Amino acid sequence: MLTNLSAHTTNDNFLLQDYQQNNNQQSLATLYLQYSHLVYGVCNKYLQNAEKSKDATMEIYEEVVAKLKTHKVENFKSWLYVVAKNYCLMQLRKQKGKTTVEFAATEFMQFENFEHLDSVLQKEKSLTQLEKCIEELNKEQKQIIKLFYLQQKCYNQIVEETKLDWNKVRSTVQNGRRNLKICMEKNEQ
Amino acid sequence: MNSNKHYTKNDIENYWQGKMTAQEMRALELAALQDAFLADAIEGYRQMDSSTSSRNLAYIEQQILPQIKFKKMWFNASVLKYAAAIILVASVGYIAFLTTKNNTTTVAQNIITTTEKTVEPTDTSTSTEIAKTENNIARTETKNNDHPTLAKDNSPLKAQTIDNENANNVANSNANNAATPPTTIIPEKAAITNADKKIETESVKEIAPTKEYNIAANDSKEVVVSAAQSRKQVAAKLSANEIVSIKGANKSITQNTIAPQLGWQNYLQYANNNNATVSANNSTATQVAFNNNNNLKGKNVELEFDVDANGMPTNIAVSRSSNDSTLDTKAIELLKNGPKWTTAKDSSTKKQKIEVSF
Repeated sequence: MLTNLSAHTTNDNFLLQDYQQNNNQQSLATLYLQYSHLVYGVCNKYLQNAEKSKDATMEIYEEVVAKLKTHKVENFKSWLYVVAKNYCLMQLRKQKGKTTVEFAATEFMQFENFEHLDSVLQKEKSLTQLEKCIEELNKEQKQIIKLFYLQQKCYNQIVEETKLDWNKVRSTVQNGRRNLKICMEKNEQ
Repeated sequence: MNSNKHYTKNDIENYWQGKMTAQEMRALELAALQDAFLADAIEGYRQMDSSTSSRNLAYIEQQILPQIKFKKMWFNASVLKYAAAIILVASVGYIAFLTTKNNTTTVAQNIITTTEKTVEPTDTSTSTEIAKTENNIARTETKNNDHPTLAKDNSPLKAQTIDNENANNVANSNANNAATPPTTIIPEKAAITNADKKIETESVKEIAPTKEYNIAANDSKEVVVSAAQSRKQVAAKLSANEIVSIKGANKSITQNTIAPQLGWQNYLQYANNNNATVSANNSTATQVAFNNNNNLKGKNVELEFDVDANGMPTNIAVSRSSNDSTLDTKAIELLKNGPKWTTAKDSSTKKQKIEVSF
């Protein structure tokens, strides 16, 4: 799960506690509305329909209200993401005969903790090891990881440079990043 | 790079519309790599029309917020009684004021504006109304020099006005005033309509024809303010008219007051951007809690301020200090540098209080 504890997490816990202990509904609404745009975005990604996403965002709130009566939640944001995503997947399953959405493994890999790797990449520490690992990546990943992390280019700039599709660039960054993590961890042991 | 940045809908839309610099875009991409929730949401906004999503999100906010307000009020029905009592007391004061001011024998205009709500009698031929509930909430006494006929009622809540020499209106809670002109009415019911629900206060005695009044709450920008504050406002309004003094129970009611121009959600966002969070209302005050440091938690600063013509908070005063001047100053600065406010619809309720908790 995401372990990136931020200042927001502290505030989230404060509001969540106020709701669960004092039954302050306003606190829960405040908390939810901080993330409603993300919930709405996630819904739209899966449901592909603005109206359905709007309804889903409100229904997910109802679900959150109901679930928090019994659930103890450590990290509200991560938990909300799971609730929202599950809700959308359920909606899609209900639509029998319609398009099945394929969830690439990379979608779920992001749940893993990349914090260590990211900080290494950001601070450019363990450079020798890192360079070695980068060299071990396949050609495409090597090129794109170098562009993104070392030359600090954004996806659009990489798209321009490589003429690859935006989605391809993003998934290559994700996959390359994952391979780097495996490589770095292997060498740490 | 600040991976803890809270990316808003606008940030995400700016990303897709190419309104970000390459550096900003990369920062968002990095954040998305660490946050699957954000990553999914970003994808969701890719094909979305900005105005549709703005409209939908505003709708969602609207749906979520009033629902709470209603539940809160429903669970605390006594709040409504207090609200009804104070509103009607204010109505009486206003009518008495009209009577005095216009020096007329009747008050023909029966559209009575209170500080927060409008009472519209169904029959405009009536002239005065007064209401009481069985709870001991508020007591209004109208002083009068000429006709000291003061009738009392056994009900713990008394709202009494005594007519002055020019007015025929005697609002009296007792039914033994045969001399009272038929212009005096006590409504049998005060029905408060909010969120399509009707809650009726208990019936009160009737002197003249029964009337039902609908008190329509404008719920779009309501915030909960302390009863102390609202009493103060009502009292200020009424005392300006030299009519009544009010004593009330220490309970909260809702009323329109000034609010952030872009809504509370936006104000919360502002606090968020300052590494702070604004916690929601508590029952006694519009409380704004800036929590940016756990060590400072639990310290409260209450600020009182006006809003100038430009919507900026002015005359900011610390009405309750945290006993730490640094925190007081910080709270004032957060307010001063924050988003603009709207003034209340009723210009007499200009003062606003917020409580800043650290």
